[in-house]
Amino acid sequence: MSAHKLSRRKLLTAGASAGLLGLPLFSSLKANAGSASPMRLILMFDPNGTVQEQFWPTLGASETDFSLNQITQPLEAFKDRLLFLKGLSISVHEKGPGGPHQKGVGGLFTNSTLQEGTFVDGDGAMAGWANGISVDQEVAQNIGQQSFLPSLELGVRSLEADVRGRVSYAGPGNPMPPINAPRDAYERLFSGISDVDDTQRAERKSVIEAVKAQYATLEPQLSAVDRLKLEQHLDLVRGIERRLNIGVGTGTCERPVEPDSMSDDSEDTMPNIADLHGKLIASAFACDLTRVASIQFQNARNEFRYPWVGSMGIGHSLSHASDSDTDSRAQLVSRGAWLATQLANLMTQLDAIPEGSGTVLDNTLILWGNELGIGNIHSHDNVPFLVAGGAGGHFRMGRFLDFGGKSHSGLLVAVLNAMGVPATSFGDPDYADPALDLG
Amino acid sequence: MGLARRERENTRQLRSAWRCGVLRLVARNTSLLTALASLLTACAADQGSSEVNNQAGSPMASSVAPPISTGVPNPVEPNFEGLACGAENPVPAQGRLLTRVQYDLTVRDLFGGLVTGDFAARFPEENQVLGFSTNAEFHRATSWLSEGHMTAAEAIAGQAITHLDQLLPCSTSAADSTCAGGFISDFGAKAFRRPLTPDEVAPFTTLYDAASAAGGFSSGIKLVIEAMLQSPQFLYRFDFDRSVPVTNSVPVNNSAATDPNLGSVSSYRVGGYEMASRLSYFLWNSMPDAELFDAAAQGNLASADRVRAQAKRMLSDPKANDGVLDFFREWLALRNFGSLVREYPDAQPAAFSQDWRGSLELFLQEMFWGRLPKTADASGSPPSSAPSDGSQPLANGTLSDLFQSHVAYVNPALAGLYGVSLPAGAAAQDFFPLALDVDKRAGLLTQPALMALIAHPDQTAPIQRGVFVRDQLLCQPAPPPPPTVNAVPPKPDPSLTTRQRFTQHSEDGTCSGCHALLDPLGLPFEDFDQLGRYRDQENGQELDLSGALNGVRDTTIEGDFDGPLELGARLAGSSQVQECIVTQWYRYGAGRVEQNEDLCSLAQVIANFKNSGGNFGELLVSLVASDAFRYRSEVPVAAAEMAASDTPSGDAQTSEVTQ
Repeated sequence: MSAHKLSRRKLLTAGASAGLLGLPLFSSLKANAGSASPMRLILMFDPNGTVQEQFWPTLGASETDFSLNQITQPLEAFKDRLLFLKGLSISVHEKGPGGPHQKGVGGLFTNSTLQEGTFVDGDGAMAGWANGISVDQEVAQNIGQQSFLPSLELGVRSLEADVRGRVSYAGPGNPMPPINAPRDAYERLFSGISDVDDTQRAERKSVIEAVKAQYATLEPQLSAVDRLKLEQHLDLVRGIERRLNIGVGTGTCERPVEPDSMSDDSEDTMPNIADLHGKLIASAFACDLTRVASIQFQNARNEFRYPWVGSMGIGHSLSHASDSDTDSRAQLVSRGAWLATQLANLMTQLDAIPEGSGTVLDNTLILWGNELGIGNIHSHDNVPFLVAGGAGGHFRMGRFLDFGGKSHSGLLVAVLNAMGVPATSFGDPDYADPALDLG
Repeated sequence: MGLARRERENTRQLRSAWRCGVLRLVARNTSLLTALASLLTACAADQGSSEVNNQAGSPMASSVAPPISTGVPNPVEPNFEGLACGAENPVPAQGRLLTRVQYDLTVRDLFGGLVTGDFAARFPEENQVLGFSTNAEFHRATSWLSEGHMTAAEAIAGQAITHLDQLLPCSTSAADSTCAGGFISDFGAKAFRRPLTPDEVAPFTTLYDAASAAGGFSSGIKLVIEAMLQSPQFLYRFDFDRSVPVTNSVPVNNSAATDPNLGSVSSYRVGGYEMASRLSYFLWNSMPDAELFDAAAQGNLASADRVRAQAKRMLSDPKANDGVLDFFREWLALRNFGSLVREYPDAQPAAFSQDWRGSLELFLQEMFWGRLPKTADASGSPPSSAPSDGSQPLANGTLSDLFQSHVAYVNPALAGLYGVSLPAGAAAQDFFPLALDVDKRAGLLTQPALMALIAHPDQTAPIQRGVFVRDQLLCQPAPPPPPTVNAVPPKPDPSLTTRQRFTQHSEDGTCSGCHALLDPLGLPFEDFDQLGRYRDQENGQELDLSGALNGVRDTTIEGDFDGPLELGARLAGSSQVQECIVTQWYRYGAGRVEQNEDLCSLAQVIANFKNSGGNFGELLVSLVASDAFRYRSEVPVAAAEMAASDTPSGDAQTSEVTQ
């Protein structure tokens, strides 16, 4: 298999002619030749619940007749490609160990309970990782093999390195850490493994052969626990080998300008990082480097301010503000609206990439979720779920639905089905609803 | 659905049982520590005779880490009756992946300083358990990390071959396959931290042969280095030396022994090379040196006495500061300095994060090593160099120093902030030891950097300061507020003191239970603002620094006190604080949260630490000489496979695709 190399010269050309930081020129799509356009999935997460009355639209005469409120107002231009899903609960939180944030984060995209463990939640409860695969990884394991990276996990100041900081799971107890620095994400996509010539590729393969031989020699000597650990690591090495073989980009896809190095833990860089991450996702989709991505904004326990929207309160504490604390509530709304703006920007980028008779956005399903519905009572009901994008026509968009208190597991199944994964249930069997009918 | 309903009912009952004033957080560890005190007398410390002097105790309702794919059980409430001290009942060891810090330090030492760089800087952050990144169970590889291992290995090997003359066992003019074979054996033994087996050598020889045929000698060596640095023997510390099984041992305290699904557990003394690595990564955060390798080869790491002697030697090496600093950074969450934002009406927007971090780290190093404070009240003594000048004394610092020293370090930026004058021409990165006003500051609790670290951007954080004392210093966390409480700190008010604004906590019936544990521990720090500056009044009002230690296990420190100095003096002599810091270091070093099987060793380390007058060097030496550090157990493969579930990794699905 021969793979096309993304040359330095092309990089310079792209940067110079586009004149836009990170916005690539796309002249063709690798995966698009002669077949139906591929589906893409993006999961988006932010923590600590929402201000319900400003997240949900105001409903008019029918499910298609609604007006946006303050938090989702920035998405007005895409109103016909939004699907608001009220009345869904992360019901699996009722079961197993852990605290409310832990269970919500762990269960959001897995519909799974948590394992036992020693991570401590805000209420002192202890738990380990989620005990199941997440919906993005289920998709990645089905369709991700056709692209360079099966999936891409990004974070915007999402730095909590425990169960509250992981929404994506390759399997039970096997979380995927998000990349917070855009430069690191760029490297994974466009330079680290992908940017090699034939000599280097051959060298890497020979090195990996020697490394695999070491795994084979070592494994029989180890204890049972260590053998499992070693086998999982060997799978990762094989993944690199696969990526070396698959290569990237066969068309004239241009890669974006390499992002500058910057702190990934600063209120000064958060807006820029959110912007760069969005552009990297768009580039990765355009070049068909991946079809599955997630982007998570911070974690439940944070003390972050959002000075760029005038919110100087400190993150997690704000979400516990009383309903009567109007100033704190206003800050939460402006933060939510900023997040919606990031979603709108991402949709705009995807909508600018032509594909078939439409755009990549038409074939993208974005699911925005949260581990809580309401922060100041730790409620897992009415979680703010919003599907955005064209979703490949699998969902009828432009609607505001209220399910009145169902497990959100049916939503995850519907997402899997839309992405071409023939599931009838997902996650914990005690909360395994069939697919929601969103068509 | 029956199960689900039961679970829901249980959840409801748990919720209704929740009471604000109940100390339930990390209840297990709290009770473990409570039990430690009684163990201290019960433990007839005879660590040297473990192999033959086991005493059986009664089985315990304990728990053990199952195969990694199924997660770690939250160990059950321990039963201490019949715990037999002197018998090694080690927790099953688990391979430990190098942390980012360990990776870079290991590369430094592996190449004798010839190769330099922050190679691990772009590796993903380790998962943290109770603040520590060293947890063996939770620090795991991901596909992102594996890519990092590859690109780092390439960068390192690229640098290394520019120093071939210093790395080869032969002259570069005699560089041939014989020389390459010598390099594979010699360098490999350093990289793998033990001699290679023939089976391990062969793939490297094959790799060298092909690569050197295509690209010459140095190309062959380069790829060998790349492959070694990506091999699991380099990236992990695995224990599998079974040459000294523990005789007469029935590991009764280990539930794996009695769990019919797992079968019996075998226990072993940690092998020589494995012990060398345990020592070096705990004390240096890096690989063993030549002397440790020699000791391993000669069987000189078998007895507790020999291990003690090695540990003392290692503590006199400047590299020991790497290990000590890493612990302090994790224990006190110094990583949080990275994103600190602090404001104060009459100060420039604060950008002191790195200054504070440097200041606090110097203080901690001095407290650990016990160097006499070279205090100079801003009159111009030379800048302090961190204790890495090659003439390290054995650690002489004590817990008492940590809480009562009158030194702090300031550089020009901090001197400006705190109104101290430094000699003209002091460079920005030069820190000067400063003799503190003994009436205002003493020890860790009043370090300007710590007070700035535990604060809100625009005001002090009395609750968080109280939480810090309970969590990190007393190991007795208080419960958090119920979700419905408005947790937004009251806004600064120019007519009120912080204490006045926070009084609602103690007056509100639903909050007073918990806040009786926290507020009286945090409000006495109000003489330090959110920049760590001293103040004797706030908003024109005199400060009330009264406080109280409530609900602590060490009743000798219980009761009212006035201000942080009195609190520090109490903590300095408290058995509970001694137990806590040993426990924290134990979690860091053992790479796990303490389990029942650790208790006896932990109790012995605590006893030795107390008997030494709280000497930090003794803490570390006792810890590495303990049974828990020197013995391990493992679950037989067949039994564990029965219990394991099939878990795909991030790229598990890819093996069929590989060509």
